[in-house]
Amino acid sequence: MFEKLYFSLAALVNSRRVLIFLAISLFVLVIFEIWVLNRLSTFGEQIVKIEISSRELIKENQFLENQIAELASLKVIEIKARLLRFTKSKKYEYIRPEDQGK
Amino acid sequence: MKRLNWVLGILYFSLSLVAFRLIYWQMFNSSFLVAKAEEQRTQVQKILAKRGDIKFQDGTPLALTQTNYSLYALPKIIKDKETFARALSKELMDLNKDQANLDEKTKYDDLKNYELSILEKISKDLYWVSLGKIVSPQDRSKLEKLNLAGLGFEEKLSRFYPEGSSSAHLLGFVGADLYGNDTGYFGVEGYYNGELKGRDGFLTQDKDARGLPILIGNYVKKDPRIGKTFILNIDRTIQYIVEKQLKQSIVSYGAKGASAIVMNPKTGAVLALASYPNYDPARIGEFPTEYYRNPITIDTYEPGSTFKVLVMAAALNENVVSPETICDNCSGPINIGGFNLRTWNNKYQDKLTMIDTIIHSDNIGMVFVAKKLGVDKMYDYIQKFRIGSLTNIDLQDEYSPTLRGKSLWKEIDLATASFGQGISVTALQVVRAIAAIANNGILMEPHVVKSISDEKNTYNIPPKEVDRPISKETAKKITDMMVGAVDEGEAKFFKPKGYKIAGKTGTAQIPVSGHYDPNKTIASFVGFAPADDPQFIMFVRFDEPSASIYGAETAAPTFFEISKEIFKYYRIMPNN
Repeated sequence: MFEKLYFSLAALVNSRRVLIFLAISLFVLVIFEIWVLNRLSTFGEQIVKIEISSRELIKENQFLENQIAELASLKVIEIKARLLRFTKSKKYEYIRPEDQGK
Repeated sequence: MKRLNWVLGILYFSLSLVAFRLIYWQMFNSSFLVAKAEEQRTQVQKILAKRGDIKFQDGTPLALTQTNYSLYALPKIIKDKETFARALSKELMDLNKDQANLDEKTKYDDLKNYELSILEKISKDLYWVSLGKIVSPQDRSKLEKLNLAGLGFEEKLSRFYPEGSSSAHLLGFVGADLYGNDTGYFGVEGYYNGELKGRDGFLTQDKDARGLPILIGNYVKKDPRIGKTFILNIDRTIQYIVEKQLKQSIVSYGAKGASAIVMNPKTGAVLALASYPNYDPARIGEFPTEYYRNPITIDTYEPGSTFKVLVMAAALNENVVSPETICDNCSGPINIGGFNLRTWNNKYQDKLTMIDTIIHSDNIGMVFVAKKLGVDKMYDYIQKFRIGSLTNIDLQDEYSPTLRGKSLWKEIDLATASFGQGISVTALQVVRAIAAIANNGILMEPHVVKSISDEKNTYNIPPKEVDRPISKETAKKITDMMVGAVDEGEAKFFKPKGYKIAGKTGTAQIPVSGHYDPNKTIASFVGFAPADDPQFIMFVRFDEPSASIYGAETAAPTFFEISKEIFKYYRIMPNN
């Protein structure tokens, strides 16, 4: 059985068609590899654009967080309260739990 | 044939020369060539680490990070330098909000000066020059629209303070060190600079001739380690209340300076700390450097009558006096070591009790107490209350004046120290010591920071007991005397009704050229409330108030005004 396999493999290797097929396949693979590398090499520009967008979005997020923090600061709230005509209470009434219901 | 051999010989010789050269470059000099190639195509980019955030107790931000841009120019690229300078200076002046209120002539002069300054910089024979201006991202967008060739923007991270100049002395500020790196100075920024600053990362990658990354090339990235986040014990509302009241009062009383600290006596947590004059940590260059120091932790002064409660507490703890002990020789001024000592108002009492000594802030009564205590015990208690020692508060640049050696104390020193003169302290030392009275006799270490967290863990800073200078019973007795001082003393008219507040006024004369100036005082008030279960202790101080030199008429009313707001905020009901 192994002899049969050996002779059929030998016949295949010695076949001219097979050799031509292998050569063409190799050639196509080389061309394909060159093409892929070439494409990847030029992706750098897109990568840079994505990186810049990502950084700009992070900065914008930080800016918006800072804006929220500033608008929520007590000095801004005090000004807005004054503009909305809120006034300070003069009288406070404390209600103890035991006084409820009286 | 001979000619052919010559040609072959020359050919073989040339080939061997090439081979030797190849061997030289490949084997002996390969590392140099590899390094050169890497230098050409490999770029190392720094990834800036964001400085850690600092937040109030409730998580609202106090100090954040923002991205700004430092302007630079490439003079070799700029063709028309005058047009460049004119266009850029005009746009930068328009973006400068401070210019809006100036008259036209001043604006024109400033614009021309600015234009000349930019022109001078870009006229230098340099490839790169800094324009010395930092702009926000929004301003950068406006400048980019000018399409000025040769104008560049270098990214910089800087601090952003949403509450403005609030808590300046607590925070400190971020400046540059000798190497130009961002470093914290003073306050929390200085003390915790190492944890806050983080560590920059880097990205090493291959780039092509256009500077674009090559995907199949080298790519090594080390992520930056962002600074840790700090949550403070500072209560945003109490800080706001203290700052607002202090700002009003410094004007009302015509004082040169004012400061206040509010602390939880049971834990040592600092709830608020403010001083005026203060500064804006975002614009430190516009303020005098003497404003940077924190008067509460650095400035020393003679505490005056506020010190009496500590001496009295020591005497009570040693049982050398009781609240009812009567001083039978306190009915007039006394002479010690050639010095005449008298009360602040020249009023004296027969049969003066220790309670009355505190209520009426009687200096002669305190000399009586000090004599009963003696130098040795007095000195020991001063040390037990940690006067003369750093408090170890987590703020940069705390200072402690040195306590004079016990052997150097004379009779007059014992006498004057009993009423807080001739001894030097910081405000923080006074608050910490009196907080022990509010905390059943236990002295706590003051702390500004509550917790520190990074991406994975949070570390809570626990309260720390330092010592127990007096017993719980002594603390109760002296608290009652301090309540009496508030209810019946000189400041009683300003006290909020219905609340039990323990406190003591202080009016300390300032030593000037070897004598005390009678018109210059440090007016202070220290107290805690509610006296039965203290939720806060507060110290207020005015430096050289001109409206009145007395603590009872300046610091005490300010203390009570702030206390009223804190009572409302904490929902502490009056007793009746």
